[in-house]
Amino acid sequence: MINKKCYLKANKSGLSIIEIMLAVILLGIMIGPIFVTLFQSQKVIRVGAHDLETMNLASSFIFQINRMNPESIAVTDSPQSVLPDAYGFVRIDTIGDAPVLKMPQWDKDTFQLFYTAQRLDLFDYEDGTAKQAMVVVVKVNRTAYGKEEQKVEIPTLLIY
Amino acid sequence: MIKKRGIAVFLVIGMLFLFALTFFWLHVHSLTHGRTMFELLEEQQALSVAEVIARIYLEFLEDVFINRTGCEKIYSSNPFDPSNHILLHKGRVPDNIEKIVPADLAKETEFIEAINNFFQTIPVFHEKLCENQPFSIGARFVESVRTTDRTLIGKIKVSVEINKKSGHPDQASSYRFSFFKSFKLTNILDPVVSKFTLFVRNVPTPEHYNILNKGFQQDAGDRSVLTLINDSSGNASLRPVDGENRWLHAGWVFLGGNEVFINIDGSQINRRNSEQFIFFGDAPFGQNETGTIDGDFYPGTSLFPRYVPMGANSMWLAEFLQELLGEDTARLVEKPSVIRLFGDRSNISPTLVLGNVFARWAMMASLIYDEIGQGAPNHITVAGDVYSLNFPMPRIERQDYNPRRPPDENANPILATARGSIQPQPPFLLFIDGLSDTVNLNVPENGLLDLMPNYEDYFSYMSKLSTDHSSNSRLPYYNSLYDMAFSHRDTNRVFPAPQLLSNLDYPNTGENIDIPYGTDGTRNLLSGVNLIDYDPCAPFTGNNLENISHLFDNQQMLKSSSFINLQGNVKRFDKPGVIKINGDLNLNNPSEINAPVKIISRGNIEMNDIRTIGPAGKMVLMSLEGSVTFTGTTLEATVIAPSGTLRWQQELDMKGSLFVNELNAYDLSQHGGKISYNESTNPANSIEHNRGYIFITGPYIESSIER
Repeated sequence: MINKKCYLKANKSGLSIIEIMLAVILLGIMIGPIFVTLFQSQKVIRVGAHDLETMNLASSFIFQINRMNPESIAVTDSPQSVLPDAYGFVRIDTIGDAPVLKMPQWDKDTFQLFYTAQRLDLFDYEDGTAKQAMVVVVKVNRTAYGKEEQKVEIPTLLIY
Repeated sequence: MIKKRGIAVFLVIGMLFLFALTFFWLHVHSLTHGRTMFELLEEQQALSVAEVIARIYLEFLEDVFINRTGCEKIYSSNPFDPSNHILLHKGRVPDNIEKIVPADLAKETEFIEAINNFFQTIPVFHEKLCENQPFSIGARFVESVRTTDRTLIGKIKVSVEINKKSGHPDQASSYRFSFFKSFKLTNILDPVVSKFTLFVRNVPTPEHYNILNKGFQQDAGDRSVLTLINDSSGNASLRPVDGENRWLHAGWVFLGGNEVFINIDGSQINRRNSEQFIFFGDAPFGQNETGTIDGDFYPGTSLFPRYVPMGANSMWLAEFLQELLGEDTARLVEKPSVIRLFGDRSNISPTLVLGNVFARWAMMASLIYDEIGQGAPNHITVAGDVYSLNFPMPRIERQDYNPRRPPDENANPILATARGSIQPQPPFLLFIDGLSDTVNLNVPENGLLDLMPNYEDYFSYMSKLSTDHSSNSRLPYYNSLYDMAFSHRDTNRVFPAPQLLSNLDYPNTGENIDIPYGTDGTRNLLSGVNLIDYDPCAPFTGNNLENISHLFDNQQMLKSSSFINLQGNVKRFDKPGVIKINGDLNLNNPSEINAPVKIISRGNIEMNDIRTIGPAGKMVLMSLEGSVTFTGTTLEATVIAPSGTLRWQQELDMKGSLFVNELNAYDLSQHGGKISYNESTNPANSIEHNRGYIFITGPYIESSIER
């Protein structure tokens, strides 16, 4: 009975300032990594989503290029911008009539799409003519918060 | 009290440690996740790059298969040697075929250069690759199955490794991918049709082709003729010894299962379109009496039989020749055929003729009196008239033969010097005038009764048609002319000419044929083929796509495809293929063929000039249900129309094989022309024939990532 009284009496003195400071520090130590992890996860999610969208955009472009006649695609001197019109259609430099490309919507500030089309000499036939192919490369430049995040190049080959 | 507080502090620190551990794990996991996403994107890029490299490599492999050179592991350095073809003779790809790497290609330098040029188009990705060996590649044939006699189907596996610069030890230093592409190896050349210059399934009547009106001294008759040039050897090697295997190298002829009579053109040998060269070669008629064949000497006399073969022409209706054969028989050789099976005088090309085909021509026979063995008849003068002692032996039937000695009025025949317009003086009778007081020839006293008492004896020596010989002998059949064509260079020429072909070739009805493979004639590509019901379209009818590489719904789709490379108004075919079109085909502009191509049309085919360019160029045109119309002048192709025919609108100059259901005599003789056999399709010349093989890779490429 006496011991119980003594205990209750001692507890009434409360927590010391040192104990409170220690608790706050410990809480800070605990919460800090939570925020760091939170920000890290947000970045991973954002980059992952951008990676997926990059692959989606490049695949969509390459898929439609693969169905074109290589002779109808004009050779490019430098990377050409891929920009959709008001209806979402993309036109590339072609020789004669060529189908327009239908691309999914994308964030123009984050993803800058370019393509190059270069003729590739494979080998010569006996009559002196060359076996040729067309290499089309879609290039995706990605920026985040004004900084370059990623540069991706997806090529495809069209045989004449 | 102190003790309990220590426990609390321990618990708090422990919890803090656990929290820290948890957050550290979350942090690492988050970083790993981010890196994995990054690697996935990079792997996707590497896959695209590897696929481009693989496709470039497949183009180089296809070039090897198309040109049959450029890779010692597949073909030997001799591009025409088929023995090293890894796929052709094995039936399936052997397991021990080594991996084919760029160093195995003759065009390795071009391949590396092409890849380097490709890398320049992807500078960012290229920067990440190992400088010394950014990639490695190799190909294997992993599966194959022979689906038919002519088609092998399988898969090629191309393995590509993309090597990155050394980075983080946890990151992969290389990506490995495998690409699979199906292939078909098939020969565009039909194994049977390609052995023939002309294959006609049905000839409506036996005399169908004998419609040409032509005189003895005429170059051409009232119609044009179609000449078959069955090989390119010309007449340079018509020695008897060459006849033993010439048929192996030449294109054959089949004229259906019914009886067909082909009248040989018997106009004077120097006349254009004359076929007398079959009997005498290209020597001018009459020079050193090469136009005759001497027989055996009759013992005890100075009489020799002498033969002069002569084909069909309108002169047989002249009175003095009608007397030799009889009017009805002479009419059978009045009109030559409009088809010439053994070429012309400048391109003598005897070949094997299959089917129930008879050659009709006449043998003018006579006895010559040659007392001193000078090889020519003696001349005598009687009452101021000069006679050449040459006594024609007329054709007579068995029941009319009566070998009595004239002047018995029943004697038949009475042998006398030629009458009529040639010698207007009275005839000199062999067994009457020749035994008179004024002229005493060394002949038997009882005339024919002593020389030829039986009709069989007389039959052997009398003038007659080739078709008068019994069917048991080889002489009525067209292939006996093969023997004859080679015998004229023999210094000891005899009639009948020595047999050069098999006993089964007189006639060879075509019901059990072996198609030779190889120049020695000991191997066969096919055995026991029945030509009468042979259908080269069978592998391509219905929905059977095994032997087809590309299918188009109509000809517009073909014309807009990459198969046709327009060069001005010329359509150039650079890609090999077995193309089927569900409809008609109209190639109304000239075409150039630069690869083995077979076009199969369900309907009719109309085409302009077709020329092959390059050693690999071969064209086969097949109409499954229709006919083929040719509007140009030069046709280098195999034409197959088992349900129809070939029509042409000006003089035909065709190099190839023609397979048709019918070849109408009146249609073909409007413009005539020639069909020259394309010896590069000959199965007997297996090296050339195998150049008809095409290697087609499928349209899709399957990929897999190897980890």
